Amino acid sequence: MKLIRKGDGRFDMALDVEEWQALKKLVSQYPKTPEDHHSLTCKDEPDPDLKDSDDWLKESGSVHQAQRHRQIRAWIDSIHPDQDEATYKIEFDPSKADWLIEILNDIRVGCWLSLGCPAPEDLTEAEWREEDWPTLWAMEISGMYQSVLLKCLM
Amino acid sequence: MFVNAEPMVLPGIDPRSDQQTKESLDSGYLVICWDDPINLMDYVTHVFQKVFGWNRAKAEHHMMEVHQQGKSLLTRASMETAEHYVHQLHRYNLHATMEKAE
Repeated sequence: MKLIRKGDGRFDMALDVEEWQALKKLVSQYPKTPEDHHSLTCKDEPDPDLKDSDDWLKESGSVHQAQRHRQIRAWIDSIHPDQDEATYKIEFDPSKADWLIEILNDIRVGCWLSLGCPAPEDLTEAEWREEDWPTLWAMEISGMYQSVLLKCLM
Repeated sequence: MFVNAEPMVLPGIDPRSDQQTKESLDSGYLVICWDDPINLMDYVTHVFQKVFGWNRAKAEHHMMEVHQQGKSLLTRASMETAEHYVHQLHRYNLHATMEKAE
């Protein structure tokens, strides 16, 4: 994944076929984080004044995820390889980059939750079951793509 | 000649002023972001910039507070504004909560 142009707040990235396939596979997993993962207040000290707002927040989160899911489908369909069939050029403005970073983070956090919220040291030292490998892969690779995009935004 | 008299104010308690005071006190909510081991440091900084419109230095300062102290008090706002901020932070999957300011 290479930065090939940057200016006026926009940037273009070039991905080879494997990189694009990996990114496509990742974002297709959205949404990965459960809708009810967040709460307005600390879960052990719920504020009764915010109960309605909390319910509304969950409802709104569900609508947001559905909207993002449609956007992802449209975005994937809009990306085509260059004439050489070996490179995918993706143009980003700050809003599109922010959007993709948010999507990738949802996948990263969702994978981490489904792995049981391991501490950083457990990620490298624990003996993971083979069925967890795809989740570990998705968590790590989404973080890598996030880092690249965040650096391009700086 | 008619002269406007000074309005005379008698001591007493206006129930409305009591209500207003209560509302202004209730308007204080703290927005707190908590540490977690999964969100990238650069990502947290990016989200603070997007949600609060802060410059990078201020966003990094709060990100480091989250990272080193386990949490950072991001802002104090009315209930509606605090809800808005927490909602935005949740959309970015940061662990944020709000609580009444004491």
